[in-house]
Amino acid sequence: MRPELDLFYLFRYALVLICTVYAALQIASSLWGWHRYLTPSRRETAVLRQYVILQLLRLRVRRFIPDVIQIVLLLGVLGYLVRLHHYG
Amino acid sequence: MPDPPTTAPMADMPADELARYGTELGLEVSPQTPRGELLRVIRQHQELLLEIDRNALLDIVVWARRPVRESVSKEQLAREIATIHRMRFDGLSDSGLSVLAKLRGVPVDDGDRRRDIIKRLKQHEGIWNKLGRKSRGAVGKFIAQVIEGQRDDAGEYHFLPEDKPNQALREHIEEDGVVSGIARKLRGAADVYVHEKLDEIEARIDRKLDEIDQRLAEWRDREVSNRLRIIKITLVASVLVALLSLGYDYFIRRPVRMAAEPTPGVIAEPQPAQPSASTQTGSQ
Repeated sequence: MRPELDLFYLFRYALVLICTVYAALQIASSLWGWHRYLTPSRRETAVLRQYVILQLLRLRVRRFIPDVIQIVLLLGVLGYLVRLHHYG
Repeated sequence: MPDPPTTAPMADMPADELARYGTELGLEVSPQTPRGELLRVIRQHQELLLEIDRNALLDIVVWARRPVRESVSKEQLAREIATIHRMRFDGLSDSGLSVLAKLRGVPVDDGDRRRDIIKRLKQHEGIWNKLGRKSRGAVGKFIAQVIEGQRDDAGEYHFLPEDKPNQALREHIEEDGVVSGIARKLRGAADVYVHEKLDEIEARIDRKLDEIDQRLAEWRDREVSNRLRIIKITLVASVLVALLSLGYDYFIRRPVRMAAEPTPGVIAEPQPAQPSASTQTGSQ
């Protein structure tokens, strides 16, 4: 007996695969570009590198706590819905 | 610190520098305030400073134990007083309290009582500033007790020592002769002027660098906020698609699947037996 082909499932699986690979490649490309830009040991680049690190250290996380809480809640809801899909 | 600008240069100052000057004097202004309004507010404050008694200003800095020279100008004292946010007025003279209230924008009449002025100052502070000040005070008290422990009284207040006075022209001429003495005096005056101007230029460059720093920090915070907003929108879309998929599964696919499966617990009706070939030939 031939197994039933679920097009909906196939579409979801392909979408997840393509989006994950694309996002991973984009992030890796961006990080590599920043690494090539900030690595040279010229004085100007060293000053810029120190300034970028300084700006990152001055970032106040407390300002973004409401957004982070909302993201965590949404992730929880999404995880519960995925669990319902698989085991419900 | 450079002398305060006169009326003519102040009219030529750019809006952000006017706003900074007004903020240093303790006024609530911003670069977005219209230029005419900025000039009006600053000139009004300068007129107020002209009317105020200098000794009252000195009383305030002595009460707040701020390091100033006794000979500084009223405007320098006003700038220092603008950084004082204390709300406990014990030890401050009545004239000092009245002047402090005027400098903080609280209307005061000559016949007002001390407790009325204090009440108006506390009302002017606002609930949020008061909460922030109380919380900072509690944290400061705790940290000071941990680090410094019990501390004795700071002692009597003293003004900062005055700058060494410039040598008089007579002394220059006594030392170097008429021409050399006058040239040395002029050179000294020119050096002082150049140093003041260089200090002013350096202060303006520092302020511009601070402004650039602040704008970059705002841009950085805005970018992080935008990235977090994009993540939230993506998650909301994912949740909606998951709900849609779950609804599809529950209301369409599952009933179809359940209709195709046999219902458990129902006994099937016995089918009539089909006659076999041997019984048929036997009966014949």
